[in-house]
Amino acid sequence: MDSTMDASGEPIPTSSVLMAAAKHIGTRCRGENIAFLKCKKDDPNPEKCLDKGRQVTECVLHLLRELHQNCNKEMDAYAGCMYYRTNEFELCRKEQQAFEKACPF
Amino acid sequence: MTEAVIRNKPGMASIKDMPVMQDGPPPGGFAPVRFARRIPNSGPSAMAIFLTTFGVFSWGMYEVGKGNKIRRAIKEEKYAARRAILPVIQAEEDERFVKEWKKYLAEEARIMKDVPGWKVGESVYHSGKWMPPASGELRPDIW
Repeated sequence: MDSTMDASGEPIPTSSVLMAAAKHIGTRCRGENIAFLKCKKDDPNPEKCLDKGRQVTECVLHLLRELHQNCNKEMDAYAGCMYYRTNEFELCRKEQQAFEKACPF
Repeated sequence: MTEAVIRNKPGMASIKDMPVMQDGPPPGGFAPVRFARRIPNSGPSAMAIFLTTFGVFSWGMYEVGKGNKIRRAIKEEKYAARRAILPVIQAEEDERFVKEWKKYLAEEARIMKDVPGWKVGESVYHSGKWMPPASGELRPDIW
């Protein structure tokens, strides 16, 4: 896996990219996440929570684009390490430190 | 005849006088061998042994506890990451599901259009909650 962005500049939300950005998503998109989960708890019907789901997706994709803009190389390295190590945080500490130094949350 | 030749004593009258040839102790006997028990009463006392054991065990359990704390922190990090990305993945799946469900409802309406009193997409359950579809038809790629 070479880059977290595809050819047209859209972020590719694979599991390794999402896990790499998980701490950022947890802090920046916290409101949208909680609203979506609350909506789901009230009514598990997918059709009822589509708008909140769209807000969550927009927040995460926007965040991924921003991370790609600000610390492109570190993010690619970290996501690549996650891909190689199947999302084990303990095996990717070096890349994680470099990534969090470049893009603090 | 051979015994008489080997154990010959010059001047014996008959073979009954032959000297005895045996494996025996050296003259004067063997040196004395000690076989009595000699277990000393020295060394650590019972209380000392017990306290050492208890101390080593306690220190070992303390190290186990430290290690467990570290491992729990690692697991917590993984779970927190999963909790953070769960809504994105669920939202994506919801979009895909709604698209497929609309196609499915259209197909159901087409099949059942001549049946009187048929409510398309009506839930088969009476609980009032939404339940995910139970047949395997909606994800044939998984089946």
